[in-house]
Amino acid sequence: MAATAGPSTGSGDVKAAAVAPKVRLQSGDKEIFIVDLPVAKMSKVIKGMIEDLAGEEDPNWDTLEPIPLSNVSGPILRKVITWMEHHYKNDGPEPERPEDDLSHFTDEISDWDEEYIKVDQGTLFELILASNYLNIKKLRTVGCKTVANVLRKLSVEEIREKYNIENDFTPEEEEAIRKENEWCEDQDASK
Amino acid sequence: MESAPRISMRKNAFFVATDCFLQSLNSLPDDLMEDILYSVGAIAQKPFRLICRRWNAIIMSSLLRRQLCIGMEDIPPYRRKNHKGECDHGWLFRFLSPLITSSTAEIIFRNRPRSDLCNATYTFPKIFRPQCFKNKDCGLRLLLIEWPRFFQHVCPARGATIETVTFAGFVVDSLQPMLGCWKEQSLMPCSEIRFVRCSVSALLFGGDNNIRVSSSMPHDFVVSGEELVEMANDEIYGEKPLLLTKHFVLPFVKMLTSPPVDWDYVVNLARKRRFDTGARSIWLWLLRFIDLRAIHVNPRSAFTEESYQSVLSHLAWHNLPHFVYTTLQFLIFRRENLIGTYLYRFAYDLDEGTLTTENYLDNIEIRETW
Repeated sequence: MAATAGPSTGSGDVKAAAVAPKVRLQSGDKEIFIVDLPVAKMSKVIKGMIEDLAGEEDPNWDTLEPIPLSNVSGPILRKVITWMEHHYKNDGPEPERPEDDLSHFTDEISDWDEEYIKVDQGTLFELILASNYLNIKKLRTVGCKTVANVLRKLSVEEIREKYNIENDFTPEEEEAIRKENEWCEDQDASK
Repeated sequence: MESAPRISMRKNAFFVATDCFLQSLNSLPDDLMEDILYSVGAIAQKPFRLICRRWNAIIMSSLLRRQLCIGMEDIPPYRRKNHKGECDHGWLFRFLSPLITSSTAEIIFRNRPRSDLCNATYTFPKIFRPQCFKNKDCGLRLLLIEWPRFFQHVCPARGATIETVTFAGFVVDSLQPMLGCWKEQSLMPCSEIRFVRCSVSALLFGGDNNIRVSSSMPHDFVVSGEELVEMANDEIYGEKPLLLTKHFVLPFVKMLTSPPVDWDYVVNLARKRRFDTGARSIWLWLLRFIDLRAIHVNPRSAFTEESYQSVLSHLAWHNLPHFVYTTLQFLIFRRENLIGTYLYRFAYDLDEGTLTTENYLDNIEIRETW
């Protein structure tokens, strides 16, 4: 398969593009993407793979095997790369955070991310799964928050219908949970 | 603002990443579902407990785990057999062992019926349990002399639910000699009381017949005999904050730096209901445990005594110090009854907020609820 240029590598910072080494990423459907090394390293999984492939010495990046990402399709990988390039350019590398740091849950979704994530439901789920697989915490959070924002606007019945979820509670169990939730339900009604 | 590029998506993109269609939002793995539901907010997600058992389980376990800063360990799928066709539980004990203390008398775990396991016999190998050493000088006795017993219960075949939420409890392994002469500090034969692993455990049954155990990192800490005496005096005669405070600051500071996304809403909501919920009394109680400085850790949030006081009664995490405190009260005020008995089992009911203890005196069971 012919190599495909990364979605936006051709525009913008020509100097940086010329200097930065590039890696090739191969999607599950065998599509090849050429991506700047620092951009690709925004994914902790890719970063780990690069380190494994490259070894201790500085490798010849042109001859290095493409990095296989079999769990991500070409269109989804293209979209993920777009996200990584934008955020690398604007925010720099993602800072290391401890595993139990939940502060990113309180961050707002940026306008760009909001526009970026306006996709159909299936694609949104694929992006969340891909960001999870590639370990890109910030993109994963953006995806999760987007689904959460949709959920907030729906009733229990609407959620079951929209997302194809079966109610497996017995009436007694349902009643017990309703009772436990009573204290916040009247507030919801007054919203 | 730079606009996000529109990229046309191929129709079959949906297939590739998961090798099949996502038939339902429930096809997402637990950790992603947990993040999605957590992003909805601590209060807003409450009604979603009604969606299905899995969502209910995730919301409830997430609340416990996140608010208490507890790490969750995944246990491999419950489907292993050894060469004799017996179910091998060895792998399970590896994960359970951190939860087991010398006061653990009973381990209950549950599994779903599976066709390949329904006729299997179950073996329960011995597990490591911390020892209570007998100290001749202090005349200590072993608090528990038997191995924990194992119970197995069969759960509904589908859905997900939290089957058990238990506090593993703590061990007071040098209590008895102190009880006899605790009023005279100079005569106190032991210098400290060791609290072990105030931890929370929950068994969660996911959609794929997995068992998960969420367990705390052990928070071992020591309270000196002198401190305990002082705590008891404060409890009886004064309003001085208990010295136990310092042992709870760290876990709670971690919680406070990452408030729920809709924290302001939580505060406003609870403030309206404060007089209905007895939050004031809970606040006064909690003041004895938590360093008030902790509430100012996050400068962006308007944490005040009032806002905390308002919300405490609604948050699950307050059960942890409550449990410790209630048990401590039990140990202090029922000390006479304790002499000559051994503690057998603690059970803390999250919903009722009650502590049930089982003690034995001359082989007679004494069961009390606090």
